[in-house]
Amino acid sequence: MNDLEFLERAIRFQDGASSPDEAAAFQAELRSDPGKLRAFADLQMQTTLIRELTRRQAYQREDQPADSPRPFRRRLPLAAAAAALIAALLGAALVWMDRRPVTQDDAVRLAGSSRARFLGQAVPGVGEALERGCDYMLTEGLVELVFPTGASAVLEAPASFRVEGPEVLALEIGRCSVHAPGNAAGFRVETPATRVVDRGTRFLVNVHETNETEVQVIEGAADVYRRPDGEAKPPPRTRLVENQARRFAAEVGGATAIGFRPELYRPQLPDRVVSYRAEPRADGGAGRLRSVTVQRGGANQTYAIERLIPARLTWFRADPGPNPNGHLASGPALPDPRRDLLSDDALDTGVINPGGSREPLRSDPVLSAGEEGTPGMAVRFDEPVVNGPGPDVVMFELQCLANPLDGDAFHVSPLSFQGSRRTRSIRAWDLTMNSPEALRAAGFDLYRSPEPILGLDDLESSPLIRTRIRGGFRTLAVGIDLSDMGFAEGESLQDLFIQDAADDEQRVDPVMIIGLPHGVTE
Amino acid sequence: MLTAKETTTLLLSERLALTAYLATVARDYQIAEDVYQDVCVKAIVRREPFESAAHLRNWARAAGRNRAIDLLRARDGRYEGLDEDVLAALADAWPDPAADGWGRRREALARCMAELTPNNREILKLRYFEGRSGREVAEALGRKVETVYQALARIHKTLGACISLRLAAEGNA
Repeated sequence: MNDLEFLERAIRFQDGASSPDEAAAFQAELRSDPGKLRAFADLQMQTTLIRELTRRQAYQREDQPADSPRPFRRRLPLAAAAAALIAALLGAALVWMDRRPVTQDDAVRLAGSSRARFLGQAVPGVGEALERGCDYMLTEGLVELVFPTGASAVLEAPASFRVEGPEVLALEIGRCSVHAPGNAAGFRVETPATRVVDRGTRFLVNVHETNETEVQVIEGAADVYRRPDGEAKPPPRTRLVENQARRFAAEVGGATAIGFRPELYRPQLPDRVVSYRAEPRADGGAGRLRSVTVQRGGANQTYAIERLIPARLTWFRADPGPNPNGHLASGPALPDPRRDLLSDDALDTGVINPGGSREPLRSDPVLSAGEEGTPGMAVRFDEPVVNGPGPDVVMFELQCLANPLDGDAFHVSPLSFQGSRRTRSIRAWDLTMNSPEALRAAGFDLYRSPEPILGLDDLESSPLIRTRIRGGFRTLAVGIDLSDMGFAEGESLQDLFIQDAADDEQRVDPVMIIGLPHGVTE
Repeated sequence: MLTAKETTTLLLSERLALTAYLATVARDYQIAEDVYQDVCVKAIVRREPFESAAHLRNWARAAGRNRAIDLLRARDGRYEGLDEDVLAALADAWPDPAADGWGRRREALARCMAELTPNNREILKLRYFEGRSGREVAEALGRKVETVYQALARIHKTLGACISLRLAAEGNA
């Protein structure tokens, strides 16, 4: 990969930026030179790895949760169809595994998940038992498992694993952070090349595609055994203690010392919206919010609706032209003023489809009718929201299968960009269409205006056409950490500006924005 | 013959390599990821077992290539990527992730990316994480399009050299 000009030609071609003559010449180059053909393949592999690593790095940084832009939205019908097909067919195809019944006492359960997706299976709900012997293939996100002995394991995508017993996790590929407290000593992770036995510790196991296994011990000790290769003699053991890391080759051979990288160990899932509860409407869909559970600073906190800080709409401007999906979701009647749909306690009413901008705001938005008004929406909380650990604000939106499954991307900004304040772009929600915790939304009425909505006055007074939406929607949720917007711990905020990220034809559909109280939990 | 379990495990372990090939065909990662899922389903429900890992690999590349081209033709009315003879030659030349040590290359790449300048990391983020085209990256950074493509080529070359150095050092350790 040394020819700079060839690399540039290849990158331009893949970007669709070559002229027809340049494209033809590039292909002729590949046909005539096997070395360049191979170099091009290597470049494409490297590009894919870079893409994977940039996504993973963003995903791992707690101060910068996953942004996963999906600019090509026409894929959704295919994605939905593929997911349904996989769920129907792969589930049946995976029956070769030993699926012994699991009693309540020795069940291994899902303690939590963050933006997780499994190949061919739905993500289990929190507290649900995992099927013993079943291969789970985690293609996106993170899951945490808790074992009956008290051990816990955080697995990161991509990973293939299965539960083999109340204290045995088999990891075929991928990365897993284990915490086994004293009474869980003896817990083990089986990999294709090794058996890693806990001796009261925190450790990390990383299994590569080549079956190489890396073990890093963060605390305590772990014994690593070679998997028996059919010979009668006992497998060799390597004891690793705190701050030690070794790589074990797939084939029989010695262990290699590698750099100790404690930062790879993930003690828990990232702070996020974990779940929420809502009163069911007559059709069984989620209606009024009752409470929300958020992981803040590593601990789950549940807040009843009475404790949450409502936000009221103070500015709204849509994109130019009428929006075919409307801007108001409500029941059969509209409140007066209409903007109250955002600040009531219902998850099936809201002010939706604000204007967007691909570029995040870098200066104060203009909140005035007329040409200069900034597309988007502003809200004011009833009282200041204090920046605490983890998420400080929770936003809910209505989403259907024909929309981005990870939720609509949006920007959230302060009204004033003083000091180090900045815009935060959120491209994946905490509770997505794949999350069992994202509840089915109740049916609602969609109000569409034949006129563009360029300010609050338009929103309040424009003529409307009502359409009943009976189903197919879920209510997604995402936490917003004020630290990500440049606020210091303990600083407070009272106004927020929301803009769609304009990365596709869909716009974000907020039905509720709430502030979390500081230090008050149930 | 591969068992169903071996088939599934191989598809998962070769996800990146297969996605990279499909992205080369489609010039679009979203389509590549969709097609990868599609290929997985077809492989798993297939009645005839695969004779070997190589058989599965070749089949997956060919099936995925055809599917991606069909999708693009349905979407755009035409396919403007590489000619099929070049795609077939590429499939034959495609790296074997296990044999070619791509697991270690990935680890080395992660470290090499950490050594890039903030400016170069920003270009990679805009291009490969946010999925912007070279033109859009240029607009975001206020630069000429040509400058962005030259920068991308230089970054790839730098990363390739850095990976080679790291792997060589690891081999000598």
